[in-house]
Amino acid sequence: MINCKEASRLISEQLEHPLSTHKRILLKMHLFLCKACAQVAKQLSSLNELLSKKAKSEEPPLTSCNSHLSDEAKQRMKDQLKKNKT
Amino acid sequence: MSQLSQNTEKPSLNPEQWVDKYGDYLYNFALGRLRNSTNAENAVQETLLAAFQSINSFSGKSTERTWLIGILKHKIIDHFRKNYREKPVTDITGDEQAIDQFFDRTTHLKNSPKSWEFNPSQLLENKEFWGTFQNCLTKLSSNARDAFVLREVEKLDGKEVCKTLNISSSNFWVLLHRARLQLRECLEENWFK
Repeated sequence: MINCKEASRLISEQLEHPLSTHKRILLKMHLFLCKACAQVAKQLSSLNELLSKKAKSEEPPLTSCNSHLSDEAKQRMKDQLKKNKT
Repeated sequence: MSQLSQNTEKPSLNPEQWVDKYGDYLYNFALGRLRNSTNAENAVQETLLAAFQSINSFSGKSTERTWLIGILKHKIIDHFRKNYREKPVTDITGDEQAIDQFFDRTTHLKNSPKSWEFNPSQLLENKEFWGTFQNCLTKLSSNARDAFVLREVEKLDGKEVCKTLNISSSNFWVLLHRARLQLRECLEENWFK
């Protein structure tokens, strides 16, 4: 029988690739008996799904910094582009 | 592709406008991933130059902004590759210990997880949620964060992430394991409460 820490490792691994039969059975048995880990497995796979959908959407995640390029940086980029134009 | 949509979607041939039109958006996109303002700024500049040099490759199938983001993604990965080549990951003991922190002595989770009730399509559009998500990411170690961002946000193949971050696959799995457990807890505390 594996413990919760090992189970969580397999839950994470399962999101990367299919588990070997042995690992899959160990995890299944654990999740059958442990409600907390079964909940974690559910949460992580829904987060995974959500991020897959977000990756394909028009508004990508991680854009909420609300920072601005400095005026100098903008000017430098404009100059660079101009230089390349000629 | 009709003549009309090609005309409207072809990038402006005055790329000077790109900086004012898309500069801040591209910068925030890069900053959200690279976390370093100098690197983010450089990635934006490299993107605009590369876009300018390959202006003929723009097919008009996507919007100009989406096209630029596509180029920026490659530049961001280049930056990760360069950063991790210069400063390779040597020790992930901290991340292994962080994983242990989530479990008690009997190896059970310290905080028992709740059921997350949400409507996926609503959550996708919810800016506040994605702000919380971004905040939670900042609490990870930079290695765990970068591994998670490349794998789960950028959806790179696992092998590609290992190559980009210059790490072994076993270390990659430890970093992802840590990232997932910590994000789970942070999202539960700050969003799904």
